[in-house]
Amino acid sequence: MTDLLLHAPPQHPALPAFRLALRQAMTDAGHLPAWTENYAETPDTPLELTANGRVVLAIGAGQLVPESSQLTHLLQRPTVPRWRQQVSRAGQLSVRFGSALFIAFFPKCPFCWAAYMSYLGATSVVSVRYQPWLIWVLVGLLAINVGVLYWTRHRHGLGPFWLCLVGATLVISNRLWLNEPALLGLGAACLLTGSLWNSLSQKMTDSIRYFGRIVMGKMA
Amino acid sequence: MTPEQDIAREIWEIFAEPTPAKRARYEQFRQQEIAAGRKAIRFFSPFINSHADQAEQNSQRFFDLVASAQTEVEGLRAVVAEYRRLEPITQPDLLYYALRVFATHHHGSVDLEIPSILVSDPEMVVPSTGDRPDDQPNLPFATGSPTEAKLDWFREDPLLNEHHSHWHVVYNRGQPLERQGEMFFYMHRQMLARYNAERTALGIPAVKAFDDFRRAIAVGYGFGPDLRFALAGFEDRAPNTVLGDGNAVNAQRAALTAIRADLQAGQYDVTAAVNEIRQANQLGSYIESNNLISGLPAKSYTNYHGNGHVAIADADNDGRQSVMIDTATAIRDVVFWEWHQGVDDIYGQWQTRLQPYNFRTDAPKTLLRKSVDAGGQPYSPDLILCKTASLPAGITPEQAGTLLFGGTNWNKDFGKLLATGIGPTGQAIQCQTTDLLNTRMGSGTIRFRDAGGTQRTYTFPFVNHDEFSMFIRVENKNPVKTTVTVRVFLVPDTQAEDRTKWIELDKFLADLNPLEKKVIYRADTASSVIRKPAVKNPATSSTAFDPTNIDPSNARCNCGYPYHMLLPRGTTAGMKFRLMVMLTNADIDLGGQQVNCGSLSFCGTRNQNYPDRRPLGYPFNRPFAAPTGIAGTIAGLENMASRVITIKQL
Repeated sequence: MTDLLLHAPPQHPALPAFRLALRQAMTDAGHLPAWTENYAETPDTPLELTANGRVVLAIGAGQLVPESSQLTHLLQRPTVPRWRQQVSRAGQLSVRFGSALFIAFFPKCPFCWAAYMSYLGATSVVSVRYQPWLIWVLVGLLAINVGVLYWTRHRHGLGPFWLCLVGATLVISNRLWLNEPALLGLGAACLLTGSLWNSLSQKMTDSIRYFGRIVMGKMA
Repeated sequence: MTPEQDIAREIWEIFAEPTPAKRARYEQFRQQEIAAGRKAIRFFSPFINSHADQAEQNSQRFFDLVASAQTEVEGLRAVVAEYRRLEPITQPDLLYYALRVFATHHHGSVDLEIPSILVSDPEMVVPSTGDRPDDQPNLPFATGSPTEAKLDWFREDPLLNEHHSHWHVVYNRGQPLERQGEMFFYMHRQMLARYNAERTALGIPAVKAFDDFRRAIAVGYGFGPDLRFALAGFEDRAPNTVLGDGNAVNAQRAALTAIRADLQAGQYDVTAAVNEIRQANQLGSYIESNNLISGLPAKSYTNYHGNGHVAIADADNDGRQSVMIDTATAIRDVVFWEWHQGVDDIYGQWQTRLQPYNFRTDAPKTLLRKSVDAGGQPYSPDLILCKTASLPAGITPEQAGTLLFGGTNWNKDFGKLLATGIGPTGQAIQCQTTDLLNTRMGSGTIRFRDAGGTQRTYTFPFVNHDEFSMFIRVENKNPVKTTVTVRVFLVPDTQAEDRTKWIELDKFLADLNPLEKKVIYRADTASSVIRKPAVKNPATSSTAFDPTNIDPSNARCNCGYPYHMLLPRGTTAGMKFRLMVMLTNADIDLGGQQVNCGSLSFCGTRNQNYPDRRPLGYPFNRPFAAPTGIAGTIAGLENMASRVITIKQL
């Protein structure tokens, strides 16, 4: 479906006839007649029809309104290759979804800041070997993190809490005894996921679940 | 019957007791008081501040009795006892008003149902025209203008009068609600918009403001014998009456000058510190007036509206009043509408000082598709109407909407086609979509015994409409879950560019999943402007005490416009109206809980702040940017759409 925008001064003499012709043309082309109008402030602006962001027709003062059949032809001509439309749409969606995610994950309260900070502290401190007492700072930070997640369990239940508890256990035991880089990575991933999960709004988790259901449904 | 139901029935029966006899008894008491050198009011009017304050003292006494009792039922029994104690020595209409305020705002678990006006005060809503089964002649109450008499059925509708009267109880002077001043302006503007739509249908020019108190009031008003007795000692107003009280005329003229001067000086302009809701509320509160202005500087125009009612009611200044004095009878008079047009012009003058909205700044990312119809008029394939009777049986209307208008039918234009689909169990379902809504005139009967015990019977006409349902197709272009406020308005097509003529039809919330294409269903009976439950036959509603019918917010549910008048009557040939839907972001709008009870639009939510943070009447509360105008604004925004429909009187 093409996104159509009609741009003209509200008193443009061709506007009423053009609307009718456009309606007929879209019906003939098998589209649902629908477009958005945007009024120009200067009265001598030509009437312009934009399809998917590109001007496809302009009618100046005194020019005749095209027949609906001419408009049908215009509407049937692909203005942009279909693959580019799809890529563009996917890109737009990704940008919108990505920006929504960024805003959703952005720390908006002291709890989120605490969770992020403890995560960053935990993953960095484990690699500092010449200050052994820092491990206890790390333990303190992680305890705060896990405690905060338990305290704010009303937001998303105990999921983030358990995830971070497992992550913290892995990180600390790795530092003290195991010294296994893969386990450190797994622990850090658990901490990160738990912290991000906790910082999400309920609306955003609903949305992610909804997308998940769509994806799973399509895969099934 | 439980003790709770028993006390609720007792209070119901107080309201149902015939008032004419009480007024007659009180008049005897009043004569004795006067003979003894004491003062006693002859009549009650909430438009007179001293009367309203006296009623407020009584209602406060009732509230205090309940608060100090050990149980709610005991408290309510004390209220009844106090009512009976006061009854012989208090003007009955004042006492009823106080009890009504109490019953409406009572917060307890016992719900106090108030009977229909056809039971509580039938003598006050007798029709001036129509069939009279008791062989009495018809009485042309509105005199001097056969043209205006064509709208007697509208002005005299019992439940419309009840709506006006009850609204002034919900929003009373003594215990004002948040945003009462703004609501005072808005509710009366909406009544005017509906009245003007009926005038347009009849080819009568829109109401002209009566705001020059030196001008003669062209149309007179008479009483029938029952109404005259209801308002004991009241009198007719002859056509072309010039107000006789020079002091009142001068005071009202000076008040209007002062209002205009304050507006011109920017006294109520919006600033960084004071928003438009607060300013409208303050201006309205001064003019109405109500106690929200307690503590604010006194203005010469305090109670401009109430004083106008009083001055016009006693037009010839002989101490006898007309129907304009009482909230249950005022709207019967042609001059009521002219007077309120004058008040509304003040509201309008204030609004013209506001900047047009930039609707793009906070519009939700939603799409309502639109184009034009075959006649070049605005049209949206996403605003679909069905007669409720034609909805398929066996599935919910929500399911029917999704199956018929969503999914693979999303891009189909129904216009007024038969929509067909397959139901969840494989059965064929269908719904006849339409662009035509039908109204018809019905009649009801008022029966009561007058003060002399004679049975009186009147037949009153009322408009009604075939039930309809709306399906709104919305695409959420937002990748997150979004809640929108759906705002529905209607206007005579010829007046679509006059923002004061748009009639609010509904306002409700809808949840949209991320990127969802949703079909929203809404029945006319759920409209936010009507009282709940929808009264489909005004002659039979609330005429008997029915405790099974009581719900915890029932008293507040009585607040609202009558359902049978939800649609304007239209014309027998079919009158064009423009139906508009706007979606706004509920994250911004929502300021409180919305409950499905009573008129959210005109009464808010009981005992809570008004749930919509936008100014009342949004988006028609401000001028629209020129030259785009209203139609251009709707055409240019993805969250708004309109279509032309026809309302035809059968």
